[in-house]
Amino acid sequence: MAKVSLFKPSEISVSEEMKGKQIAVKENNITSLNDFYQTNLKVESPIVEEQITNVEESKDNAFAFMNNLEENAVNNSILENEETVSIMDNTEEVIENAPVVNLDTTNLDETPVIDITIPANEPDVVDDGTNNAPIINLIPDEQIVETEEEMDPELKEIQERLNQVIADLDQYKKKIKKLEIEINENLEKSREVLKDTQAAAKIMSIQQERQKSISEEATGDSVLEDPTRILNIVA
Amino acid sequence: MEDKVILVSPSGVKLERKLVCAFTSLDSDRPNIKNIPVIAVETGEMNGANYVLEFYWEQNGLYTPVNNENAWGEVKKTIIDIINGKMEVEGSI
Repeated sequence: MAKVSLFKPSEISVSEEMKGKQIAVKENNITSLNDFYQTNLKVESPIVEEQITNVEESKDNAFAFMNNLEENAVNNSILENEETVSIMDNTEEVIENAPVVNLDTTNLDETPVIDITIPANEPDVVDDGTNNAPIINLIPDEQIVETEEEMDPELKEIQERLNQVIADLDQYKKKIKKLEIEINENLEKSREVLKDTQAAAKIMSIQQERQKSISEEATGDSVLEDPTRILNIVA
Repeated sequence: MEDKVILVSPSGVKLERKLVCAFTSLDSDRPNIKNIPVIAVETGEMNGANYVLEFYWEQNGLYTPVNNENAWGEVKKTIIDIINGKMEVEGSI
């Protein structure tokens, strides 16, 4: 007999696309699954519910408990029309093929259903009261299409405007960068010119100093050449 | 008691799902899913009069779609066994 251990997950993080493998089950089967899970979980581990409050400390638990349920978080998927469904065993050998169903795609409100009886090699099928074996509809994953919620037209427009603004902003940034480079180049040139000007000014200053000193020397000699003039003034 | 789980994608998209069943197979005859937690969640979608369930299995600390075909076959067999009452429960976590 197959054996399972039941557990109670808290937060589930999905690493890949949100679509898991799917099957469709009748209501009595889903009830059976629910009952099996709830009943066995309660009976086997009555303290599980207490442990849930300490989820973060559980070393065996790969998830943390999410208490914040966002509104409108449910994302519905729409199933494509199916044509063939097969039941395979572990070796992927096809043991039963469902009949091909040509579906009318004009009415998209109708979802297709193919009832598949569990193969006869499954003994001891639980009688659900109708003398029929439990039926599980198998839907090939490649025919399952998940549709995303369509964006609100206003939001879409806002998104497009935002994208345009971002593109413009990038352009302006490039222009600013270019201007910065030009400014730096001009600044460098100005510094060079200033250096040259300062050098020239220094040279002029030196020359002026020399001329001045030469002039002073010349003036001192002329006074000594005519000492009589000075004496006349004193008298 | 109704259990709900939140499926969170790396991009932050959250999907709320009703938990139908969560189990770990201990059966050596199902080596691809042995000791690997598997969850079955209700999508809220209907296929005619049937409920559509999604299945994820734990890989590297995260739940991912059961992308291994052998493992998927074993998951289906386990679900069929549960429905048919051919399942022994050994404790629970």
